[in-house]
Amino acid sequence: MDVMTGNSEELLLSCVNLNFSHREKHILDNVSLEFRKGEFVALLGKNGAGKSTLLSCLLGILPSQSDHLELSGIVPTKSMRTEIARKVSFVPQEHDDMFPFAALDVVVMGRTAFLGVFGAPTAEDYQLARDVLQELYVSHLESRVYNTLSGGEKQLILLARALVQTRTMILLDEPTNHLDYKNRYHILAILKKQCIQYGSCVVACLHEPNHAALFADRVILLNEGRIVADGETAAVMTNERLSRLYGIAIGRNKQLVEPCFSQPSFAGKVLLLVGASGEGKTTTLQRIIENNREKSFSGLLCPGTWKNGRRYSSTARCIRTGKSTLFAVRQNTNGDGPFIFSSEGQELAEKALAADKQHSSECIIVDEVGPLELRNAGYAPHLAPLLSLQKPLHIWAVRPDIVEHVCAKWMLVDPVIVPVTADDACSRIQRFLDSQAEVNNT
Amino acid sequence: MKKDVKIANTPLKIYLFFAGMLLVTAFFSSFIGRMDVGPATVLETFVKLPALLVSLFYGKHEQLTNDEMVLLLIRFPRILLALVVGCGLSVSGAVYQGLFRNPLVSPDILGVAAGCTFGAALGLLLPGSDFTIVRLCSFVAGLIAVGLALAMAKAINSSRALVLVLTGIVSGSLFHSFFMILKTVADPYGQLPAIVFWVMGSLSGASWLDTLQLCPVIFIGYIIFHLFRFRLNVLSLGDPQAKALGVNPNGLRLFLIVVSSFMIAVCVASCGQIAWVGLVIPHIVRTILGPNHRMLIPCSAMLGATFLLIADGIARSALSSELPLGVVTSLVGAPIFAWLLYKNRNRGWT
Repeated sequence: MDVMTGNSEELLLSCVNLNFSHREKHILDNVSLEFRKGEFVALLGKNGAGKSTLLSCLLGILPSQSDHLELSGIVPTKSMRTEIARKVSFVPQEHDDMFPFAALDVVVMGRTAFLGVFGAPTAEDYQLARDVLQELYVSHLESRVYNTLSGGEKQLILLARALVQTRTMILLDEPTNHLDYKNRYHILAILKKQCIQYGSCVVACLHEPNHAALFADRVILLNEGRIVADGETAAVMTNERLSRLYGIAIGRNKQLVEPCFSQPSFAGKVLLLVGASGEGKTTTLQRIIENNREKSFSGLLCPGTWKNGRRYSSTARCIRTGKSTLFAVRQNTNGDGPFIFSSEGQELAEKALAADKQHSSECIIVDEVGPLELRNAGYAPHLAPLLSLQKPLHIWAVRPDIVEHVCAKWMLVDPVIVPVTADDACSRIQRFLDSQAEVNNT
Repeated sequence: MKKDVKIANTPLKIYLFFAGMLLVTAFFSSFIGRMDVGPATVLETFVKLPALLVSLFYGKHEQLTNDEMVLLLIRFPRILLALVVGCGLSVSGAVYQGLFRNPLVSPDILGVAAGCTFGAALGLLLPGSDFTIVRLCSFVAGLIAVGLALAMAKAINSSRALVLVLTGIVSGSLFHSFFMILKTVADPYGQLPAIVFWVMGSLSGASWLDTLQLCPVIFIGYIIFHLFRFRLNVLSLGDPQAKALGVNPNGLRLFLIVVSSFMIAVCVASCGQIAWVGLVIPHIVRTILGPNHRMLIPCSAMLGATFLLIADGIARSALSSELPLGVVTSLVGAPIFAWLLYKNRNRGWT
């Protein structure tokens, strides 16, 4: 098996002939496994195959018999819980029966293993918890009551708790259960990022083979407590094996819907023009449109007026039709207060960004994707439909502080990022437009 | 539907609020009673307290005025007893609710109170037994009842908290039926009223000796809970999660149960069964400050002490004869609890 060929220094958890029985029934039967740094391992199997039990045994939560069970130098069935908890964190299935703790209090409990017996979390521990919430873009949930959160938010909070505890190794019991279509991919993408960025070892029970195919480096098939196959994802997940595992004939079909981020044509089709307010994003975009008269652009431009160094008003201009109207203006004439949006402007923006009108367009410009969109307001409802179009490229104007959040939220793959202040900004955008046009033509 | 909880970033202010309430209540309770003692006398006695206590300690009672005698020998020990018992009952209630992950659990869930009551009744029936023996019987029987519940849970060999609750019910009802048997055989003119009155709870027998015996147990118990208060948060998530987060739940739970059973047993043994404090007070604090035991434990202690002081004040001054304390706490506690249930509808656990 190819998993045996790794560097032994990177070995985090291993077991040899692990057995677990409950009331004379064998739940796990001679399971031997090794888990290494940086791996995303998916555990597939039917209900009752022993996936959750295996995780519990590896954590030492359930007592098991084995020839060898070692977690980074300690034995989970014999060691102190604190020692184990410092080396591996666990995300249980989302559950409700807890006191109505604030989300931050739930997250900070991840620090338990690092506190003394009588310890309570310090200001630094709370800061660490807040940092992780920030990293997962859920800072706004901090003071919400855990029990009142939605399924996806709960899962993110439990994941944050695990990350606060340790990133070395994270075990998850069906992390995508009860989540909606997008949140499943969102959670898995976060986990994948941990593997790549921090070298975490992620072991997750999954119910959907497609999720494993998309994210896992390695797949373990478990049937009636026995390991049926263990190895590299593509090698293990044959139709024959999966059909045998689930007892349902499984084949591949391109007719099914699946998220775009996994499709090769999606990579690199978005250019993010990054610049702070007033650095000339809109001006640059106008210049690009001027220079490429032969291309068909669509989308929305929002040139603005400035007062006292701040944006005072902005105009919405539909690139396709050339129509423009006042979009938003500050409440007070001295340039203070929130923007008041005009209904004509909003109507124009709606039309300019409606996905069903852009099929023939070569490039869609969105000026700009800001904090409003991150809160699912503003242009947000249009962005995913626009991205789903096969042909057009996208140029989004974005402020520097939210680039990563925008990439994560719309699951952009290999976005081209161009700072508007770069000397060669225009030529880089030009290259993006030309190179992709070639790809489309061939 | 946003429901925010306050994350207490200014705990000092909250502590000061609860402590202030406690001190004010304690001060006003010293005026209440059958003898009128003016505020000036109370203040004066407070100032002279160390000197007076020294003279009391050497048995020089004749140096004291009548007012000072009332305050020093009757009211102060009684106030202190109310504080200590209120603190003990409500803190162990808070701990039990956390341990059993159930906000409606009261500290006598494992049969402590039933055991104590049976023990006290037994003590009252025994010929020639004095109050010390009654208390000792009560304390020992209370611990036996909890021990029985724990032993049964151990025999069933399940680490689930629900099993403990069930064995607690078994043990509690067993001791309750023993208690009923004692009531039927008791002499209806002398012993039965004594048993009934004892069960309803009272602080009227308070003396310095009782109070000082009680203090160390409650104090040590409180310190233990205070130290473990963050661990209690983790325990309240349930065993698998507690284990994954690095806490071994079984040993810690048993230890905390034993400590709180001790606290409840000494409280019930010294002043009878005082209902509602252990159930309602943690509940009130949880509604105000959220379920985090970091604040819940100290604030429950202070509010519990305040509540019992007020209840005792009502008990000794509402009617010409003294009302049983357990009745007053129920009378005050039940409406508060009903109101809380109503106010928290559609939220959290209700």
